[in-house]
Amino acid sequence: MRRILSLLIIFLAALSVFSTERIVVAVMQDPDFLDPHRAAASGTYEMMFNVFEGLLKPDSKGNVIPAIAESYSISPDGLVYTFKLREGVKFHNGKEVTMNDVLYSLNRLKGSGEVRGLSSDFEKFVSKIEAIGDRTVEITLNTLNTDFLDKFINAIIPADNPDHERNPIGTGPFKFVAYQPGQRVVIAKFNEYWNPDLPLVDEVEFRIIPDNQAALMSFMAGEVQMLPRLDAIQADILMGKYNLISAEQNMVQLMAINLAREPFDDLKVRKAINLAIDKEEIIEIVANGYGTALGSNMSPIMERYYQEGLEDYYKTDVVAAKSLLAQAGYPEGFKTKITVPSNYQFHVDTAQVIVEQLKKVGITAEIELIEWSIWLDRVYTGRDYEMTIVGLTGKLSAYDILKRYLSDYPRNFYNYFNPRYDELVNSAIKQTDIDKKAALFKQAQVLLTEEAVAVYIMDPNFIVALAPNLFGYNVYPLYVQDMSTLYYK
Amino acid sequence: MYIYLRKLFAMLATVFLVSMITFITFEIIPGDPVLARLGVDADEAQIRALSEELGLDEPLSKRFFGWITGLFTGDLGQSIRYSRPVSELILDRLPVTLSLALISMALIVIIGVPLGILSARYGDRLPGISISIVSQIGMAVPSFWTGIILMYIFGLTLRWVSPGGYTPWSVDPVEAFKSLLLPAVAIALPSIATVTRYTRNTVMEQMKNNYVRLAFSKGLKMNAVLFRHVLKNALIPVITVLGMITANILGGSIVIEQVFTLPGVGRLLINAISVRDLPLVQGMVLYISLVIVVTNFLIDIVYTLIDPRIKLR
Repeated sequence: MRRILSLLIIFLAALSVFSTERIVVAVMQDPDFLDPHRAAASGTYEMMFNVFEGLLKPDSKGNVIPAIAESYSISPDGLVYTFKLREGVKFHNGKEVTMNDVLYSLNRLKGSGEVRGLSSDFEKFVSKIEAIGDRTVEITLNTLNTDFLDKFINAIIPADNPDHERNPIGTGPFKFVAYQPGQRVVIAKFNEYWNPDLPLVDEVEFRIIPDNQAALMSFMAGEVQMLPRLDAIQADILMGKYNLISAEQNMVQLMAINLAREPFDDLKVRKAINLAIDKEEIIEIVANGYGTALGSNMSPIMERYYQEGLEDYYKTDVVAAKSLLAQAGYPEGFKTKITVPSNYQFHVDTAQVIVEQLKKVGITAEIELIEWSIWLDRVYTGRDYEMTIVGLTGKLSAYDILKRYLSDYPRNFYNYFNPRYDELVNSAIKQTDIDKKAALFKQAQVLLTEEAVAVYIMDPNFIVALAPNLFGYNVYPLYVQDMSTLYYK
Repeated sequence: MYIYLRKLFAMLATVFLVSMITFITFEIIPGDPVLARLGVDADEAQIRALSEELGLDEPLSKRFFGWITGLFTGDLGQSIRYSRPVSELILDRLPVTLSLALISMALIVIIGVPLGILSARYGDRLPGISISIVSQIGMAVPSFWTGIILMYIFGLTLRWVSPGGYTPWSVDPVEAFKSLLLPAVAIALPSIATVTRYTRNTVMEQMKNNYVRLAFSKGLKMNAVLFRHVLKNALIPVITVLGMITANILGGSIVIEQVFTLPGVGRLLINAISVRDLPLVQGMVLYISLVIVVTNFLIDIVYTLIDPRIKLR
């Protein structure tokens, strides 16, 4: 009897040694596509960042570092990018990454012959993709775009995978295991990852919990070990009991003003609105202080390109706002509507504070709540709105952030058309000199502020809660969760 | 046989009408499934690729009849949002909803009906009055609130169950039952209250009838009268209510599934509507209309079993 018992104990002990280390992360929504070239949603990238890699990949500082490529060089004229492939990088199916896979992936983005590409940037800028030997690839641009390097974070995928959607295969530290719609995305440690030190845990489950309250309860009960994107109330509840990490997240929360609509076509009116709004108060009330005030469409986390001081360009001044309104012909103010996507409580709360602030200068704003899919269709694509509040997630490239205001940008929902702005931004990406480039991008930001194109509110802090024994979290200036460095202690 | 054919025809007509209305509604309401899937950061090239794949620019009538013909070959189409067969998505969710319905219906019948009888039996004495007050409260409290409170008590404080963690039956039946019990209770409570009140009222109604007086004058005791004579007559309306509740739960307890993060059909329906996934919504509508038609049919059969005077017509 005793022998059986001791055997049992040994068996149990062995079991606990070999038991898998697993992290459950709460996420809000389903991935849009598992196929990395077809996926657009930030919520998807957040998860699949761990599965796919490009020739390059972003690091937590917001730089791009070699991944499948081991090194790269850019020709002096800035048009030719040369990548040398790393030896022995393997796909999750065990096959080595070949030049064929690299060419297949890049051509899938660019499009070839009859088949259209899946990335309009590759379609527009890349003129030639060429293999030189079997370890070097050369990409030639047709127009200078000094932010194009960031595009090479696009995933390299195996050419012989018949279905990238049902069975996504990449080279990242984790391999895809399963996706159950509305329930979970499961990824597991890839044992042959080119960096043998990573990842540290065996399995990660992204559990799809759309309800905030339910996610919080699951976290507190220990069912979920990592809860990203806490709101201020949740952060207060968890404060002191759990490990919370908070940082700027490279997001721009703004109130867009439809410049094609009266009275917003008048600069004085837009300035008055900017003067009426007190960002600090919004940050205090809506984000409980967890936010950084902005003055233009750039978060301070984009150090190199961020124009300082713009957040104080419009100091809250009710008297000045009223007199500007009077000059514009609205001494009594006017009535307007703020259209807000109802699924973003954060923006809804912001709208409520703004309504009160606008009231002080005589503008009566009414909040119109609409569904997210209607917002995308009617406001974002159809540009049918007066004012709206939204958060735009950050990009690695300052050009990708600022191009939203270009006259020919398909989703320029601000209806901002300024040739001078177009010139600034378009000439900035042609600058190979980084300081000159930064100076031009900064001028573009100043222009947005001076012209009061929108009310730039804040970069709401990113707050993540971790189980007490979970360590190694890295904050990125991107919408990603890097699970590879996390470990239990 | 004829009766079944007629029922089948009525069912088909219902489904056809409901589907057509859904198609037209989706045509009218704003929102584009391609944009809804890809979101703010969609690239023009990605939008183009998805739109071409879906073929949404075809006329409404063509798409509708395409869907109907697909139906006859058992093909519900492909979900726009999830790029998977609609039938696969719904079948995946059914076990959760079915077990949830089964557990909560068991609770409702086992607790609701006896409580109602008890309450009628002791009509204006303490047990009757207290049951009636409690059931009044039970009906007034929304189930999502009960859900959150239950989760707080049993999940966070007592730690008997783990909130937000659904375990499928195939993995661990005990855990599966534990993860379904609380939501089932939350769904059942208001319905228990309804059934209790309904049973109480119909029983008391029946007690006024002449056959009851006759039974008493025959010298039967209260319990004998109640269980042998009254109950059979009183059950007919109660079964109608139970049928309605069943159909409701099978159609998806949207709020409870959201609160407990259960992957049931209710959450699927909400997702499908919010991303304008017409094929998936159509599939769900088909499922729900089937549930309602079939439940009604079953209730009709139960009627005939309880009361032989009732005939299917």
